[in-house]
Amino acid sequence: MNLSSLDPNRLPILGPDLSDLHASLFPRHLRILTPIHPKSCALISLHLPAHSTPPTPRRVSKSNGKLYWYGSGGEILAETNSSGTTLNEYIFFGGRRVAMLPAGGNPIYYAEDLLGSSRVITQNNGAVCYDADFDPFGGEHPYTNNCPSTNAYKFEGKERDTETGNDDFGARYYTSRFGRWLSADWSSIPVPVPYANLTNPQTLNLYAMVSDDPESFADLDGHDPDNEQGGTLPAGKCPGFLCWLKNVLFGDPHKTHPAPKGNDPVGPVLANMAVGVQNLLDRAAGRPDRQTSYYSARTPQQAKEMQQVSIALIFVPGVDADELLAQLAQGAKPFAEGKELQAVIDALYQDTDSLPGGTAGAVRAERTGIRVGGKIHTLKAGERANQLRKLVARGNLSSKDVALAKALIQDLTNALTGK
Amino acid sequence: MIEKSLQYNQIREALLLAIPEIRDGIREKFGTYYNLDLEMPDAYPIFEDVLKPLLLKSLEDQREETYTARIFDFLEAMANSPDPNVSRDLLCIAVLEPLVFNRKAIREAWQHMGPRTRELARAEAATQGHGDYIPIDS
Repeated sequence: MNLSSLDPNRLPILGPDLSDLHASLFPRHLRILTPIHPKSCALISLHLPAHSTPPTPRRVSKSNGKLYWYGSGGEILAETNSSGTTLNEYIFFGGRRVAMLPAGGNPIYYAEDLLGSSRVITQNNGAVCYDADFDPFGGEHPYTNNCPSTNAYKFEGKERDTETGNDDFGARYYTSRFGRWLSADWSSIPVPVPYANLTNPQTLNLYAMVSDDPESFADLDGHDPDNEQGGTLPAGKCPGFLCWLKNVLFGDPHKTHPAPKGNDPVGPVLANMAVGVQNLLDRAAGRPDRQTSYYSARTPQQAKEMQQVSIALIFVPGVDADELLAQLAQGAKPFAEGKELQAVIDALYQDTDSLPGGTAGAVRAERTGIRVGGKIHTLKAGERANQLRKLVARGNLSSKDVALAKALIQDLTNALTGK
Repeated sequence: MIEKSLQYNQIREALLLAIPEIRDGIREKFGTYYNLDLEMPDAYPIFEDVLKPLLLKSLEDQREETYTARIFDFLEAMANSPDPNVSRDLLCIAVLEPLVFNRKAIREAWQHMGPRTRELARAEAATQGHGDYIPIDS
């Protein structure tokens, strides 16, 4: 399906069996927001046209003759030599590299952390052949490194060149030895300071890795993420389209989350996407569209972009909309009948949280080595679980609240024990 | 007198010693499901559910200077604690993080904060994307 042929005046709900379309969508803008749940069979995926988010340059070959073959989502699916003989093939799932199939060898399997770094590799018999930590700026510290096939995809899943030790992020090369990019950030559209956010002086350094905050952010393509279209998610700040989307999917369902408007800083293209998402969710819930008109473009460039922006809610056969939305809402804040339990929930799930899942979500992220907001939430999680046990033990919660409190205790316990 | 090197396992006792008024808040908040004669809630519930609202209220009401000063003296002692569970986690999660999201409160609090608390608050504000809430002349 050609996405640019979709009717921009009526963003579609797409039917089942669209795996081919799924492959052509570009989920990078949701990567932070919607960790794929193991049981999830569906996801919302947003597509921005190539000229809206400038295409990431891709390396097609190296001087040693190695050629790269890309999938439609930009992932490297195969490497061949210059005569086309396959060297390695790669399998991706949910945007993550999960396996390498070396020519003539057995497959190896990747376990990545939240940043996409390859932390553990196992052989096909389950034996761990690579186990490494990465420091925040990407320095590799292997404890085990005896895989039969050499893995070059390391920090944030990017290829680390054996010749130089530099990482190929697409738009630029990065050196983990200095924690700096080897060239300044750039934009295909002339702007005063590429990818800078003038309210955050850290972003004015065009050589800094994710504004020198690599414990909180991952770089996806070599461009500083701080000012990408729609904005990223500095903890607790909700500046644009993505933050609105996060609130809609994971936020308090009793609150209204006004969608960005066409004259807001996000611009009419993203505002129209917000209208589309809102309508998709309304339709899935059996409600009428709350806004049937779309915003007009103010510039020829925006008009062109609108022609190619599409939103798809993909339904996999056998998954109904309610189940899909319930899965998407995993990590959303629950609500209690009693005010004492609600007070604990309010402390666990705060409006200022930068990740879904409340305190348990923060603990889970921290178990991967990421400190959420530079802090560690394990003590809080344990103490709040104790408090919930006290509430349950008192014995006068409603049955619904008992079930909810027990579920919260289990969630916190699971997070603390790594389940 | 606040212990200079506060440790996490003594933080509740230290708080009660420095700000005895907190006992009323604890009783009101937790008295229905904790037997407070025998046990005390853990630190996070006390700091997040009792101390934080007390602090915000004292800033809002511009309550008597000595009371507010006692709270901030205690926070400064927490900020100087060598125990990261106190200075990095409890102080920042329970007090500074909510404070830096509230422009008016952080500006009011700034005049009472000690140097180390200011330093941590400034870092917290930057992390949370609210660096502009911190007064410029600091």
